[in-house]
Amino acid sequence: MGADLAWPSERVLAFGLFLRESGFQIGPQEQRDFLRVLHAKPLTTLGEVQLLWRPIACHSKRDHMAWQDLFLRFWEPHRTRGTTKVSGQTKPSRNLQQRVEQAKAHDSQTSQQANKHSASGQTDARCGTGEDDTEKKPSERSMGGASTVDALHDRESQMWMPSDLNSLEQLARGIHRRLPQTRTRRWQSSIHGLKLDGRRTLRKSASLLGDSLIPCWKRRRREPIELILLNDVSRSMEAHAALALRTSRAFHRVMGARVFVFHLRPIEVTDLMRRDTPAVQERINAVTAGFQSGTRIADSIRALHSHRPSVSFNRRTRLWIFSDGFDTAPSDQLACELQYLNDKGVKVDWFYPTRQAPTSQAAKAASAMVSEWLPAHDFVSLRSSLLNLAF
Amino acid sequence: MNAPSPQMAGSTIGLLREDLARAGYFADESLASVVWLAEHLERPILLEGEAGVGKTALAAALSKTLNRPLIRLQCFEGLDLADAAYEWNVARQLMAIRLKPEATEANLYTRDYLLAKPLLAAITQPEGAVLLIDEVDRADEAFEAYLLEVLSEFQMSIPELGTLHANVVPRVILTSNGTRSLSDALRRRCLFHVVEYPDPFRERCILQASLPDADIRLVESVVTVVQGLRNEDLQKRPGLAESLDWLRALHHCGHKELPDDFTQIHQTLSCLLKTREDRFAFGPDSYRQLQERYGR
Repeated sequence: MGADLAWPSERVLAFGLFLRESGFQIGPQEQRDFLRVLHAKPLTTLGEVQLLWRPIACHSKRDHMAWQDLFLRFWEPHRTRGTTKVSGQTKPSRNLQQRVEQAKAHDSQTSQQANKHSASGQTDARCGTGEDDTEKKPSERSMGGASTVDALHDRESQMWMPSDLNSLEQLARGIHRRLPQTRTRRWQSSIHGLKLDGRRTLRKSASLLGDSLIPCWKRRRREPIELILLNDVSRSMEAHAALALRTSRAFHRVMGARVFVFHLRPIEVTDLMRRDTPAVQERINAVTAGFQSGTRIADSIRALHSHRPSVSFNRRTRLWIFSDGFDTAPSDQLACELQYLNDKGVKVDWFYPTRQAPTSQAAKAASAMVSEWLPAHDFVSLRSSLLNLAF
Repeated sequence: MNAPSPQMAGSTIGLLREDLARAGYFADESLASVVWLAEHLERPILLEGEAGVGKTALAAALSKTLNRPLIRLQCFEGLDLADAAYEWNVARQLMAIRLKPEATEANLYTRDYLLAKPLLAAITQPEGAVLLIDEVDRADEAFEAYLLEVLSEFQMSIPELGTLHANVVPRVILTSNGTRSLSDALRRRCLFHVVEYPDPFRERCILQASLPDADIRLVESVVTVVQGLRNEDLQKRPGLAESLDWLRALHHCGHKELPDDFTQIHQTLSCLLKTREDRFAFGPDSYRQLQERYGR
């Protein structure tokens, strides 16, 4: 697209609309800036326009990554329409004439083979299995000793679209805003405080040579609730753990929630939640796959509050458990552990991956110690559960 | 600010890159375009990226290039107006009352008694300034909301004085490490750019310019290893600052090229790997594998 080619305002506006439909936040300001750039600089290539419009249109890293593709799709549709990505070896292209010749050659070859077999009169059974042998040859896919099983992070059931993750983060942001802040015993200076901060008032007065008394005020410091997520990744939760872990990741990114997974004992995976790479996704999938030989919910909770000094449980702590409630420990043990947490002021919410609340004996015994039992069998139910959560 | 003329604008981005390079900052074309746009549209730049990729350094280089003072505001949790914008000089006001008992309130709340903190200082700088608001994601949301007026209108409202406008629009650079998501309102007021790790060629140029005495073989080896490490699954991937530190350390140890013996470089690895887990994961075997994989 040359410099002499006009960039009609209508097309630029249409591009803005196209971006908006693609999830970008494009308003009149951005569209005006697009036009200002075009008028300010004689642009000779589409690449230049793309470079200069990108900082105006993109407001997040996700926008940044999607930008080039969207830009080319709108301004150079012929370059993007109908193209496919291929991997591995591809067959050389052939024209119609070559195809006809090849078909003829194939026909003649098969007829020759048939004549040969009939002429020899042989009825060797192996002749009939000649094609079977070729069929039994290992396919190109399985050659080279590579596993024919896709990597875990390539499985469709484990893959999440960026829009899904975005929705989860938006949901987490909404919950974070609703979470109440609790007053601590500590004080902080604030002009809106109602209690006089004697020490600071005197210090300030001393700095003014005792000439004047400027009152300094303080109020109780408010701190956000500390969220701890405990995800069951045992075999019975294999199909649901992905949702729980993605949810945990969203809450970690938005409000720094600490994330643990457990099967027989709890393991902290908060650090893994910080990074967004295929390797991390692989690891997250790995912890959700293939566990068996029982689930120890009560033992895991005890290990969390007894053997992990870094995890403090108090009235500012909110514990969310993602589990189906099947515990191999004695059924009353879970209730005891949750009672211990309740006594410390911890509020416990339980997200279960089924439509009905867990019916296991352990879950039934612990039902009084859990603030809310919430269904989370899919994103819709999780969303409605979180939105209805009482704070 | 006057917009650059169309004749000049064609080569402005290229010239800007050269100017920044002279100031010791090797910007790629996309980043130079953002800086050019910021100047033309009078908009702040919001730079996001991993720690140590050169976000803060851009402000310093821009300050040198434009020959304007660099005013830095380091954000942290609990940053308030008195630290960031302005504060009344109460001691001076009291002294004025003593010296002139007839002084009225209007006389006491004037520019003379105003202590300018970074935001106000940047706006009132007569020759303009480069304002760096570093790690804005560490500040509270309330402060972020206060920034909106400053960044969109380049003005500041002081109840006792009125609204102060910038005579010369400051070049504003905000940096964020992404520890907290910033509000859409702030993002929309800025030109957004993600600063990625530099490619091997640019990293080599930066290292050579920063440490011209270092042997070229050492520089190339350091770039190769650091680029390789960035593809590994590390908790904290080494940035440009880390590779520069590592090069300096190796250079001071008298190495002309990267030694094959891991024990010799082990002492200097603290410049490169910043977490215990990464140090543990990167042993002699990993080093050897990295060398083999990236062709040393």
